[in-house]
Amino acid sequence: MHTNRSKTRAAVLLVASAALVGTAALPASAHGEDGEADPVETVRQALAIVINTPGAADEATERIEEVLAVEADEPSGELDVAALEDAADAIEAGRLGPAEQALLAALAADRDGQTADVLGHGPTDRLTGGLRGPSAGEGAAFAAAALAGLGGIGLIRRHGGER
Amino acid sequence: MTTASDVQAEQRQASSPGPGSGLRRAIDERLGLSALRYPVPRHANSVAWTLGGLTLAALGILIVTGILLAQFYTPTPESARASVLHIETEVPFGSLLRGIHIWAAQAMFVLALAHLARILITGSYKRPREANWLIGLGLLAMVGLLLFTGSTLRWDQEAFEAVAHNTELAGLAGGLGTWFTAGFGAGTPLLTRLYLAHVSFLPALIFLLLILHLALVKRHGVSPPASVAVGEQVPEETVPFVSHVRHLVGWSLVLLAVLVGLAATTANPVGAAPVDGVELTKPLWPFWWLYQLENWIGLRGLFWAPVVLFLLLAAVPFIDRRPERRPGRRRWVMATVLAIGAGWAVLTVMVAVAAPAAHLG
Repeated sequence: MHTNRSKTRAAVLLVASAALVGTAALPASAHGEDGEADPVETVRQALAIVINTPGAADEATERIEEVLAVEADEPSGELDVAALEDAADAIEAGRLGPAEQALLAALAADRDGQTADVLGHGPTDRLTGGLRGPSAGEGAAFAAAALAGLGGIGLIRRHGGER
Repeated sequence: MTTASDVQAEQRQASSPGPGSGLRRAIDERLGLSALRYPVPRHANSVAWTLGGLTLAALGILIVTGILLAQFYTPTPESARASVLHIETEVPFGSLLRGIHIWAAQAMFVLALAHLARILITGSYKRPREANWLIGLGLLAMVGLLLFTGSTLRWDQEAFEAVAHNTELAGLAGGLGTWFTAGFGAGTPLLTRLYLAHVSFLPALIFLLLILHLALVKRHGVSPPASVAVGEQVPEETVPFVSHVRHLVGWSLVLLAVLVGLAATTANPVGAAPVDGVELTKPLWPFWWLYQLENWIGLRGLFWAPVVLFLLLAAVPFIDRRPERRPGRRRWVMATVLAIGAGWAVLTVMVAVAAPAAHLG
């Protein structure tokens, strides 16, 4: 009797956790609606795509072409259209570095100042992850930490419950 | 091997004359340090029973590095990213400090999960430790919130998208989510408020819960091994608590060495300035399981999955109430734990190999 009750409780646990994973089977919901596209904002998005998802640079091209079409009909005066065309060509050729520079040049005429440097850093200045070599100071800090770690191993060996 | 008689011998030694014994006695008379020589079971000095303390050590490293980083960080949308770049490129040892902070945060998350897994496997949540289990879950939630708020501070595209999700989730939470919206305290940017949460009230809550957590560990004692059933008394060798502390300090020094090594040999990424209207990044890896659920079922998955998971975990001590602690005799509980762990791993790997997806309108 006691065992059966325990099994029932445990089954409740299992079913609840299955329900947690099972909710994944529900259909995805849609989000929001597209609003009016601002040309400067759209170019910024294209720049962000080139920087963050180089594998999906086609999406950046779509946005640039969209802006070029609008600018051809009704120039906003906030974008350098020639630079935009250069950016589209560069993306087409798979040269994402020059594409990034061209998009920045296209935005240079943007008057709202959001592309201005802050603390000497521009909007596309960034650092990538991965392995690197330590500086001399960092190497010294690591050596000190490693020595402390060795001391730690000594403490573990002296006081550890499992030998 | 230390026994109860060793504890008494240490206490005798502490009060016996010898070099510096007068000073030691004077300090002890005022600070009562000899009270820390109370006996704890020897298995407390095993790796598995040190995971909680090691999580605390990671928190300590985070506090020290966080205080140092805060001297150079500007928590406004206009300058936050540039100040992080400044820390990385101009501040002496800035990149190392930030690296230690980032790795320590992930270490704290992993160690907290490992601690939770140990408690689940050894049935340490059972009577009379149910309340402490719930407090521990609260601490885990705080760790998650600290990770999230910390990941928004560099204010690049990834951080911006995380905050955009934060704002949408706040909408789902109704009135409870008001604090997380940009409209609350309109004069103070949301980024600034997330920073304040990261450095003030989340750490304060963690400390409050930690005091309760540790006080209850002291009250109920170190949880016994899984072979000992609830209510069963099995004599065990003991060691003085200071020996446990020294053992923990040893592991903490090893952790520090590993973190410094990782920070010195890996670069910390900082993305370009954020742009609204696109979703191009994935969150920090501890949130990938949620990200995949969001891919499948939208924002409500992001909201409800943690709620359901925490409720499920909170219910464990009240469902599994048998005295038995051995994992082999608690197969349904172990199966549930394994199912959740495997689900978490599968969802995480799915996001690791997939491209970022758009979720917000």
